[in-house]
Amino acid sequence: MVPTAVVQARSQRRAARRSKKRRPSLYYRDLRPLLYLLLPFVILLLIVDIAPLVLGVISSLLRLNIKTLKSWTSAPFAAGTNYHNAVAGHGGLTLSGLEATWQTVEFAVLATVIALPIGVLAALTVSHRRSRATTVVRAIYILPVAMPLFSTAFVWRMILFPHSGLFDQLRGHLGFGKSSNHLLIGGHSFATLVVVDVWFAWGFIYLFALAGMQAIGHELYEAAEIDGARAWQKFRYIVAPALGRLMVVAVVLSTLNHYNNFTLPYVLFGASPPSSVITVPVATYLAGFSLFNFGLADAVAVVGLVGIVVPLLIYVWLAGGTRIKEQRG
Amino acid sequence: MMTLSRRRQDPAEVLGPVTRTIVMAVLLLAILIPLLYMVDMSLTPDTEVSSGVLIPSHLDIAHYATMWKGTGLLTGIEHSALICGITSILAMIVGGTAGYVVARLPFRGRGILLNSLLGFQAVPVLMTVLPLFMVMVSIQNALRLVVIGTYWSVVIAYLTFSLPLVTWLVKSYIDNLATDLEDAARLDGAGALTILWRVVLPVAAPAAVVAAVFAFLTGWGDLVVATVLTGPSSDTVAVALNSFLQVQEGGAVPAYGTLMAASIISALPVVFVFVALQRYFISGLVGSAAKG
Repeated sequence: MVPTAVVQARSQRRAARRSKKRRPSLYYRDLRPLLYLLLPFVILLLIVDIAPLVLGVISSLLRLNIKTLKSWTSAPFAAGTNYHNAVAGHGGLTLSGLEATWQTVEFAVLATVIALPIGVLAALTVSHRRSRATTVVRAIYILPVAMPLFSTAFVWRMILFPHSGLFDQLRGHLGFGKSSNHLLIGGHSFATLVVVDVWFAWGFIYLFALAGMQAIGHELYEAAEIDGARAWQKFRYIVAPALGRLMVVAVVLSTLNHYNNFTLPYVLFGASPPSSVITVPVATYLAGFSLFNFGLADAVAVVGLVGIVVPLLIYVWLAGGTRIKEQRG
Repeated sequence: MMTLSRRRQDPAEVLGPVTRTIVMAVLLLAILIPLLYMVDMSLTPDTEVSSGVLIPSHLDIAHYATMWKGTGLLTGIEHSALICGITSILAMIVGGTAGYVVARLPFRGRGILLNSLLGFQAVPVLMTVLPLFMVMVSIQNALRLVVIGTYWSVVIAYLTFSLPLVTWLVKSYIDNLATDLEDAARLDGAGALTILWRVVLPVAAPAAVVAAVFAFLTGWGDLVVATVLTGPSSDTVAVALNSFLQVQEGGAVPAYGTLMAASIISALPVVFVFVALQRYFISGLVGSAAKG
């Protein structure tokens, strides 16, 4: 139905790719002294990122508790004890590391899958009209994702609080019975976590989708209109191809964000959360600062890395890259 | 005739007017109800909040006066501003220059460095904070210094994510910048540092500032690092409000109204800055994502 639009979209993308390749590369011998500027950066990176990561892996093999922590260099070697405990859920853990990892994967994927269509739909409602009203709507759309996470978690704890919270009050007024004790403790807490997370996280997808939609030329839509394209066809043949790669990155990034989110489960469910919302960061924190077993905490964190290996590699593969080399080759 | 009398729809509007209105209305309600509830609670007397009153008997603005002392809000904001300020300035200077070098110069290990910059942004923060905590404890012990509870301990920990973030954002901004200006300066005989200082800095400064602002905002919203590494003299606003909540929940009449008022005040500047600058942030992320 819309071959014109498809062809135009393709040639537009091809032209964009070509113009990128033609950009002159800058490789000047006399700029080489600037490489020394990397020195402070690399040193700082070593201190704040590389050394701690290495140390974390090492200490996951040590018997580190509140006593041995002060002289951790001479802490006894624990071989695989921490990993055994982390995987099996012994050593005082509420949940085994594998269960926590699986649960966190479920949470991260579910939240992303729900947030994706919401974010894209939201972007479609404001993408191509410029008026005062859309400007206001756009600003409102990003309020939840712009708010500090702890504020979001406070409000939702208030809303879902048994009896006094907005949710129970509305239930009462609408005649559905009064209490819903199970939202913050027990049965439904996993669903609560997902819903509250989606409440703010779709904004992230929306921002990416909107940026992608605004880069689409108006003439594509005009061509599609002349060809008699319907809404779904416009979306399928114009919007979707333009968003493709961008959405993959947005989805991967937001999955990683969900996976590493500590603040939301920790504040929403209080300092001793029900086991169904103990995600990897919370499990790590609890092992470290409520069991005071730092070796175990590191082991839980390392086990939890299993859950982000795939999205992390996809992200690095898609967004990373060595531009200068590509241009020379 | 019927089609003529109707307002012609913009072809770029993929959703029909009805769908569009419904989607928009649902989203706006979902966003605004919790936010309005937040404002509502901040204006409701505490006794009425805990008995579940939705429409307060009178608007009580007292929370906005009492919150400054009892919650630790004021000192929290001071600490947060100082810690996040130092972090973002450091990240901007060190990461900004590195971002330029990484974008423009080929060197051995460049690919690995770029990929690890992305990786570090996604590594769970506790992976780095626990070892940092461990090292700080032993430094404290060996040198008899106070490390944990100082601003610097938190700054170091915040740099684990803000340094890669700022470097990456500046790098992807420079990537999309034509090299013409630098070429011209080079032909005029300018040296490497002159080019960086006189030519690149004025052009790239806005990007570096925006990147630094986002490093600031990330720190402002953090709870876990601050919970581990701050003490009474460095508690950030997130820690102060969270411990206030935990204390209040044990009480007979929890001061939820005060908590909501304090949350609003600590969120407002951040939200304002984010809304104002989101375009730049996204173009930084998108620039890096869309290429290739």
